[in-house]
Amino acid sequence: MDLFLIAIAGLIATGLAAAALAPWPRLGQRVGQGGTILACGLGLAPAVTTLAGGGRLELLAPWSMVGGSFHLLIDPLAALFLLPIFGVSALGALYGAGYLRHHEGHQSLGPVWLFLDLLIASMAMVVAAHDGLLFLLSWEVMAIAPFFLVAFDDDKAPVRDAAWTYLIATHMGTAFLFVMFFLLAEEGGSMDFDTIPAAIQAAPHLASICFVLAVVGLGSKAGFVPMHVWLPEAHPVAPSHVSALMSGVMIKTGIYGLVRLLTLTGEPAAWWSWLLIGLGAASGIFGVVFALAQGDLKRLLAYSSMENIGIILLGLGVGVGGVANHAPLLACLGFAGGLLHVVNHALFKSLLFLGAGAVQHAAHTLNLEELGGLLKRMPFSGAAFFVGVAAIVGLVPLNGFVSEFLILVSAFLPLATGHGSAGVAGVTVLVTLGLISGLAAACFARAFATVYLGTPRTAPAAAAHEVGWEMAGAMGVLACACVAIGLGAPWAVHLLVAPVAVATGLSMATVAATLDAAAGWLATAILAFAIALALAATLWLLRRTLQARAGVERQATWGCGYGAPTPRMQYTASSFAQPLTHLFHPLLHTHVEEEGVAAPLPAAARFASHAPDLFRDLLFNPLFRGVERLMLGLRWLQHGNIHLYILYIVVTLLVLLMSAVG
Amino acid sequence: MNHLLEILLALSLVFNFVLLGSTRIGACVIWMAMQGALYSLVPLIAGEEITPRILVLATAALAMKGGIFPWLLIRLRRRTSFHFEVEPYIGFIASLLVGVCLLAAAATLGQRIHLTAGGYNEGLLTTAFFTILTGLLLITTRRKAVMQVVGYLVLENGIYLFGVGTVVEAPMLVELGVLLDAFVAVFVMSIAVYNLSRKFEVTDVDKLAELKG
Repeated sequence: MDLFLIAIAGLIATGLAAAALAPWPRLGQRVGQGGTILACGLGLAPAVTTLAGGGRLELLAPWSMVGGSFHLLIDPLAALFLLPIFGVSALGALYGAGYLRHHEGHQSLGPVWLFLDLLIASMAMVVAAHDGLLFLLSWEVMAIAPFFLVAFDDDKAPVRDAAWTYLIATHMGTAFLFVMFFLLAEEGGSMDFDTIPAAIQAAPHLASICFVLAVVGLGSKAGFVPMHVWLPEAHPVAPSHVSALMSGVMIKTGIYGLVRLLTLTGEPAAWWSWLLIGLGAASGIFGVVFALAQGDLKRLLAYSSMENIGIILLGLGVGVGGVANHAPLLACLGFAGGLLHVVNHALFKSLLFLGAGAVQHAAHTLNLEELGGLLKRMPFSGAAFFVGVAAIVGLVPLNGFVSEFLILVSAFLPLATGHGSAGVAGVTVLVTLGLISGLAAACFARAFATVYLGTPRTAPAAAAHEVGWEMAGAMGVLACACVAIGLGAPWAVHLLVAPVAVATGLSMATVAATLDAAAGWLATAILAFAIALALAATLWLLRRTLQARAGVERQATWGCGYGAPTPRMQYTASSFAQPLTHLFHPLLHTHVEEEGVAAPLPAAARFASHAPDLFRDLLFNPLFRGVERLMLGLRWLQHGNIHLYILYIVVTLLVLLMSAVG
Repeated sequence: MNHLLEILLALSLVFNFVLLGSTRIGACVIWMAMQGALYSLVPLIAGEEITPRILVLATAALAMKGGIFPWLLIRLRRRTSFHFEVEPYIGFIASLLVGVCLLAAAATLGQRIHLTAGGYNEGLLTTAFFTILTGLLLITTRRKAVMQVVGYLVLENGIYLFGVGTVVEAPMLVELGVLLDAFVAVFVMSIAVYNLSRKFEVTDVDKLAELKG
């Protein structure tokens, strides 16, 4: 626990030092980078030892805050979430200094480091806090720090709008959490998490109320449909390493809060499982369909985060159903899949966002239609990005496969064993996950192909260059981690025993037995893949040797063998996605502007498509406009006359005093 | 309860009404200062024994409320404007009538509130509340910026009376801190009003409201 506290203090000190050194940007960046990596390394140590050893670290220190206690607890569940928080943050810091280098001297970088370090420290505190007030305090810091990071390019109006959208969305979520904690504190007499089980026991109806409040409050952070609207706004405009942290790590604190609450509320009701599965299915399908229709790489990744949150929810939903129906097998596999996907998504989504940052750094745009052919110019970034893409669509032998496999198995089992309602849930999860995976494969094939394959569509893309060692190093480490978890799946699954035992409330032995069986299946799957890979490699070598004899002529990619191909002959990103976006038109409502080709000798033609967010347009915009109209009705109170303002205060004061003593 | 305190409280009630009825800024400052001076004597006559702590507190309060504040304000009024009128939004008779209503409200409050600490009578509470409400009334209904400062100080007088009268064992540091706060506030407000009058040649608050963007 000492190391954890030193890490938190170190992060805050680093942030302040980097902010103070803002007049010397080069030095400030070095201090920010080095300090952050060091502090994150210190923080990783207790997380790793707790996860591997299965113990708990606890600290209850005196705190002068009224109604709160400074109670920290790192159990295996918290440690599992601390792992990506500190690990990805360290790599983000490594990458960030390189990414921000061209801003040195133009724009003050001190605040970026300060708020980045505050964000990391507050995320760690959220996960370690074992007291409602401490949790809310950390949650609030974690909500506000990214606002300043999102608004990094604050001279652009869309960036400011995105930052405000984020701030409003996050605070609406926090409001629900306040209600939840105060309800629990009223019953339990204290904000400490340890009093929650007793409070629920005293008032069982609170359990479901708190669960719904938590789903809304935490879900707006995690990006459950329809509270996801801030994700596609805020993630694209932040600096890429910040997007990676927000999308890969920060939104997972919402999942953490949900799992933590489930460990405290006792036995879940069966419908909780249905709610989670339903939300997961909706978020997953909606996220991936919208990702498919996006023309901006980072926006696409943001929607894909929503999709992956959906997959995590499917796993948790099956797990909760297992706990509710006393089916330990389902509970273990569901939670194991969901929790492992949290870590996996943190790794490959950060990798992809860092990769998108590299693209932006090199080609100065993220518009898919202006990129292309980057693989020849940026081989290392391209390879790392490919690993991320392969991992996120769940290809063997990468980490995405492992967690999705666990969830799929947990959905298959009830079909085999013949549980009634669990069977229905299983079918739902299977079908949804199948649909999501297929669409995700199309979506990321499109993203990778239009950015990295083919020929450059514009001059900046043609002039792209490989990124520096800091950015490349961070991406390389993340790619290696994706491969390592994929190949070492049996060991990775074994590490999950302790966190899953905490989350499900089952004994370590039961969980270990179940997960070891799953690890065995995984080992078989990976072995089968290795054989297939060896076979494919042999075939490829054979083809190569045969071709070498025949003599091969090289042409422009997708040049279709024409004599003078141009980049405009390639599939564009929107044409690649068109069959699928057409299929999902009822959901997407893609807005198309088209001046088509008409006459035999056509004039210049034009085509533009744009997929606005359905929930933003149909749910939140009308809602907020209604609120605005209501509030405009109160405008006459706001007249600017100070005397009358003071009069309001006097009258309020008198009425309150009178009613208080009356 | 000793009679001296009751006489003092009754006197200050009268001062409040005089403040509401005065037409001249200068007179208001003087009455406000006299009320403040009276209140600073309360710890001396209300407490059972006079400790050095209470003596220091009373002296400091007397110097501030009876000396420094009125001096700052008189100087400010001399330097800012040629108008000596209070210029109220509501008439003086109306002010006095509202004052009577506020006194009734304060009396109700004074009777209803039962404090666990201190053994003081409801008269003191009533006076304190009434002084606070009078201060707020002055702030809301007077047009000249200087009068806002006077209203603020009357309000502060009320809070001071409430503090020294009810919480017997209030640490001296807290009371002195409050005094210091009030001093800084008056100091800042004087400078602000002086600069406003130099810049815009008015200190009418409703004209200043036109400055907002």
